[in-house]
Order: sequence, then structure tokens, then C-alpha cells
Amino acid sequence: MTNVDNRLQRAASDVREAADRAPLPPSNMATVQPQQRQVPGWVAAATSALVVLVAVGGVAWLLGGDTPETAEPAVTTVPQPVTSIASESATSTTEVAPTTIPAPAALVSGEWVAFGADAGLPGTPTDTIAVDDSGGVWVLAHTDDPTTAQLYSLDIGNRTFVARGEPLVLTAEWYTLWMEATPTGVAVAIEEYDASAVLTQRLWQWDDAGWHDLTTEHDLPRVDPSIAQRLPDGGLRVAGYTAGAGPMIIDITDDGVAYVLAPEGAWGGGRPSPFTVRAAVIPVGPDGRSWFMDGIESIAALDAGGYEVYTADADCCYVPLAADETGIWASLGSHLYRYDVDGWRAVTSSVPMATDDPRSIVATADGDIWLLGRSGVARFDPDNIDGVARDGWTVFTISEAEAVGVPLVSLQTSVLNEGDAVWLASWGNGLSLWLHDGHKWAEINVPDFLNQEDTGFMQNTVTARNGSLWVATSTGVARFKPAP
Amino acid sequence: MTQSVEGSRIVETETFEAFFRREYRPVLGLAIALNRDRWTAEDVTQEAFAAAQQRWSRVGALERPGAWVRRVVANRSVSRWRRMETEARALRRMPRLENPAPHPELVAETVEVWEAVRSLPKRQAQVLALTYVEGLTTTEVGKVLGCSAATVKTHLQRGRASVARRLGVKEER
Repeated sequence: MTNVDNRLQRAASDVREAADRAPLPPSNMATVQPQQRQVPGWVAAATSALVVLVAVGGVAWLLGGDTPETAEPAVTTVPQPVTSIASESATSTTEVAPTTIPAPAALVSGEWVAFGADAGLPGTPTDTIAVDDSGGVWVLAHTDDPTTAQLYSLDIGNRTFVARGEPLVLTAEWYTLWMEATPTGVAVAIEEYDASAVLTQRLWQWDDAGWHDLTTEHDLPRVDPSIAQRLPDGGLRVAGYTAGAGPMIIDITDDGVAYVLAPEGAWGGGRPSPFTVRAAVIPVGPDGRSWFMDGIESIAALDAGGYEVYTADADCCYVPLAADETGIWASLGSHLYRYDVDGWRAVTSSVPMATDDPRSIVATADGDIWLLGRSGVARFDPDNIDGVARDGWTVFTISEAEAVGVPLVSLQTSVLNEGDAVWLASWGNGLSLWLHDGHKWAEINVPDFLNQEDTGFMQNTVTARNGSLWVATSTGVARFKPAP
Repeated sequence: MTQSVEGSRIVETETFEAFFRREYRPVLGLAIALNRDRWTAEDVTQEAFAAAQQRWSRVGALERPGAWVRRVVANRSVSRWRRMETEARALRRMPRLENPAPHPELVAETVEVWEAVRSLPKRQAQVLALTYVEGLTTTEVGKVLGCSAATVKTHLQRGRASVARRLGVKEER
């Protein structure tokens, strides 16, 4: 029997050799910087050429010499949390002196406020945020015990966050997939890793009576709760795939909890999707049905009325991308398709190369669809297919975006606010906001406390109806409120 | 090297370019171990260096800026958020590549080992990768991850035991 240490040593050696053979990336890997930031001359000068770099003594600094005096990340200045917090209700006009962080280069002015230990939160990383219909803000935070979570809500009267109920005691280290408001509190999908490294996903609900394991309490099939979306009536729909089975939706409403499971044998030809990505599940489509990948070749819609599968052409696969008010968008290979009352149709000849690897897709109420990728952003206007270059796509590549100061590198996520503006969050490059009315980009200056790269500075983002953007951070939460 | 003055102290900072040349490949090795495919490993590594470059005035002044980059890579590699995004990207690629090999440059035995490591709780996975790929001591791993050597040792023992069970090999060293 082989010793585990030997196996690990051999595997490590193989990895090191693979890395040593790797070509160094283009020198412009970090080219796009917000314009107010200084870019080293060597980067600016070498926009197209590869810089041939020689790896020298890769781990020498680690294996020899002195012990690092500090391995801590760069110190960032964290503004003092405010002790008073404005109401988040949509009608609120009251604002109380927040900590204002200057945004010298921002095209959109606004205020960042940090909420940490002094505002009732524990100062530990917060995993996720939810905003309910009344503007109430909910936060699920880690505690000193890695197996415990504590729910907080914003107490508008006292202008601070308060702990809600007893902590949720889990069995292992945990992470949230998502948290959303329900008619009576919040629902949260949590992943736990037990001592045997087995991953367990559970769906929890919190109300005034405390925490409930939804699956156990309502005798639901086990589900990987990929994503949740608010229902028009204020309820919540959870959509995901059951373990070894097909798609499933769970509706949490004032009437209780109900679920619909795809009929056995109807889905995927026995090949359920191996993926559990948000981009591949649309909980609430325009006709009320939920949309899933079905195997790797089809897309399917599920509701209480049944399960309908749409199979793609041979050697292709549909991936549901996004829904708007009248239809859903799906990709098929490198093409974009739309399904609505008229059925399926191709709406563009190809997805722009700038976003060939999309990381986030959103459809805005004006009918546009946005693809956000590593190398750019593309907006598709279905009303402008004919006679417009690139089949209706407006592409903002890195070089094009650079001219207007948009940090497009490493776009990771996006959210829509009630005004239908698109927020773009990127690792290390901050936030951007697309303003539809002016058709211009606005760069939002990112305060230092959101730039703690060692912890992944933006854990989660959500927008409130009043236009505020809430961000879960490694030390609490932060809010950006655009100026009127 | 460039010099800057912090109070009465003169701080010598190497250029980002020199730092990048020296550290890119070793850090990529760490990322390969912690990510399920080569493409993502390169992505994570490049983003970490891009982040370092943006803050080079601060990161470059650290005693060990390489530790800062390694912590970024270690944390991003185990992030659930990133994993989901990675899956989304992989999904998009499927039509073009039927069964993409996640790490075509690695032998199957190596892939199996790192898959087992990636299935561990995130701290255990980070500790094992830093220990074996980078050859760090428990103290050095602790400095990268911001925890004590004792904590690192615990994660190392538990992680090694779990990997042994998954691979069906002996646990003792």
C-alpha cells in the first residue's frame, strides 16, 4: 500500500513541473486599470507583445532566508462604522451622517458606509445579504465558532444591526449558496463540509419561531438548491436538482411550502446535469415556469402542470441564460436563442468574442441582454438586429472600455437594481454602474475596506429598491448609496 | 529596486516586473493544485498578480509580497463563488470540447490526488497545497494563511488522513 505522503509528494512534484513548463502570460494581463491609477510603464508599453520572462528560483524565498516578518496583506484603512443608519425603505428620505468616502474619479457620486462591530455586527465575515420587500436588510454572519451562523437584521429604529434569535448551529464549516427573504423571515441554502469531507447542502428557514430545516420539516426530497428567486406575490421559489434525480422547485409562500419534482425518467435521458450553476437555472421564467438544463443536450421547463423538454440539434446544447418579461434567452453553442410565445428562434448569428466566456448574464426590462466576460461586456438589443454592426451587439472590449475608464478586468457578477441599472462587480477592480438613461459608464470608487484581496473583498452584493447597493464583506457589510 | 520613504525609514521595493518574473510559476503551481482545471488555475493566478500590481506600492513594501499573492490565490481557489462561476464557464465550453481534460498536463494519478485534496474543507486543502507544492513549513503556511502553526498542523493531519481514506492508501508518514 502506498503511503499518502508519497502520493502527495509525487503529485506536488508533477504540479510544480507543469507550472515550470507553463508559458508566462502576456504582459498586459493586468492592463486595464481604472484611469486614475498609475500603471507601471512596462505594462503600458507592452500592450501586445509577450514579455519573455524567466522563472528563477520559484520557492527560494520560502525555503531559504529569513522568516517573513509579516505575510499580512497590505493594511487598509477601514472607516469607522456609523452609529446611525438610515432607513432602507423605498420612501425614506432621512439620512444620517454616514462616513463619507471620497470618490475622486467617480462619475456617479455617492456614499459608502461600513457596518462592522460598532454597528452591532460581530466584525467577522458576512456570507450573504438579503433585502426584503419592506426594505429590511438581513445579514448572515460567521461567528468565532466555524460551525455556527448568526442572523442579523437592520433595526431601523435603533439604527443598528441586531441578532435575530439563537445562532444556527451546524455540523461543520459552512458557506452560504444564497439567502433570500420569505414572507416570514429568510430562507438560506447552506453548504457544510463534515469531518469526512462530505459536502452537505441544506435548506434552512428562519422565522420568529427560530431556525427550521425545511427539508426535514416538510419531508422534501433532498435538493441541491442552486438558486432562489422572489415570486411576484412575495413568496420565494427555490430551484435546483435533486441528488441523482431531476429538477425540482420549492415554493415558500404565505400558504406554506410546496414542491414540484420532474417526473422520474422524464429528465435528461438519465443524464442529469453535472453542473449546479446559477446561470443554468432560471427559477421564474416569464410564463411562471422554472427553466433548467436537462442533461447536456436539452433545456426544460417545470411547473405543477408538467415537465417539458426542448432538445437541441445534435452535438449542441442549450444553456438557459436569463429571462425577461416575455421570454427566456439561451445559448446554443456560440449562438444566442430566444424562446417566447412564438417558440424558439435564433436572434443573432454569434455571441461576440469579447464575451465568449461569459461569467454573468442579465436581461434588463428594456429588452437588452448583457453578457459579462473576462475580456469585455456586450449588450444585445433585440430591436436593433438589422442594420447594426455585429448583429445587434454593442461590444465593449477592454480597449474600448478603457477609453471611458471602465474597469472590465475580471468581471465576476452583476446585479440589477430597481432602476434597471447594471452593477458590475469585479475582483480587484471594484464596481461599475451602467446608467441606461445616459448610456455611459460610471465608475464607483472602491473604498479600501472593500479591497481586502486576501479575504475576497466582495462576498455578495444585493440591491435595495431605493437604489442602494449592499455588499457583504470580510468584516461586516457596506452600503453604497448613489447621490440623487 | 526602488526606494521610498516611510517616516524616517527608507523602504526598498523590488519592481513588480521582477516580482512577477520570480513568482508567477511557483504561484501557478499552487493554483493548479487547488483548482479543478488548468484554465481556472491560470485565471486565478493572473488575477492575483493583477491585484498585487494595482497595490504594488503597498504590497511591494511587504517583507514577503509572495505570501500576499499566495493567500489571494489560496482563498480565491476555494471560494464557492468562484467555483460556481467556473462551472458556468465550463458549461459554456462543453459544446466546443466534448470531454475537456481538466489538467491535460498532469498524469491521472496526480489529478486523482488533487481532486481528493480539493474535496477537503477549504483550510485543509490550502494547507496541504502550500505544504506539498510550495514545500512550506507549518510556520510558513501559518504566515501565508494568517493562522497559527498549531492550527496548520491540525489541518495538515486531518487533511492527510482524509486524503488517505479517499485514495485508499496508508495514512502514516
